[in-house]
Amino acid sequence: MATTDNTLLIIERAHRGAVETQFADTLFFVRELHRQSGGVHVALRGLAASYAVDTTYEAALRIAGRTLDTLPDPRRLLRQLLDDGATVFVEETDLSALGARARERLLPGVRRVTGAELVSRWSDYARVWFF
Amino acid sequence: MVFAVRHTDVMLKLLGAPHRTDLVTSALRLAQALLDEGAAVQVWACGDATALTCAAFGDSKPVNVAERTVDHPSTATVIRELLTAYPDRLDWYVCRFCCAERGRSEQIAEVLKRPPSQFWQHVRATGKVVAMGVC
Repeated sequence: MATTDNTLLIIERAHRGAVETQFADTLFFVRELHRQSGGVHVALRGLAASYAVDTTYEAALRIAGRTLDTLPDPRRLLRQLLDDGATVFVEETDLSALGARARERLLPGVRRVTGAELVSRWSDYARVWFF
Repeated sequence: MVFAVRHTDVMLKLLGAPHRTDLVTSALRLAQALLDEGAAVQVWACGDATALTCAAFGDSKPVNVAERTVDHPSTATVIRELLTAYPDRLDWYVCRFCCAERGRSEQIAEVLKRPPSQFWQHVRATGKVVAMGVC
């Protein structure tokens, strides 16, 4: 449950660069904010809902003889964020849009929420930031 | 001295900015796939895409404080390696105006700065143009 000094970070823009971004993606900074602030809540919506869906896909590409395997890994970072104690929501509608089995592949610990329910909670937070 | 644009099979007109979508990654993958097939390729980078080859990047991204021992090559390094691997079939041009306008005039030595007034020379010196993103 949110407290009066909590921050809700809404992430809806996803997959914003792989080769140029690598480790320094949105969730990297969210994790750092979680550390600095003492705790954040994260809401994944839009295409960012895909961050909460497990996959066996390994992000790597071969270029100029190099296997570049340091590309962004949002599921790994999301697991770390959950281990750090952050609360993570994913919007039901956007999760469903990813396929009939997306719900079965939801990362453990991520909470499903409707869009309306999330909006109704905004006033519980001291800050609501689109990230 | 007159600059003669080397003829290529495909030109990737890369106008989209990094750190917005996976467009830059798609462009690099497409370039590699074309080179794998034996094609000659030129990339014309405009707008914020000129940032990819900034000399100031150095060889690696800043240290990942969460994993200090892992090296993360900069885009300048990735593109330099690609140019080094295919010296006879890959050229990477950056728009001189965009570089100056956006404070990126210091580029890695492997790319060539070209004035936008000569852009059409490049269009004529390629079989196909693939437009990727907008400035």
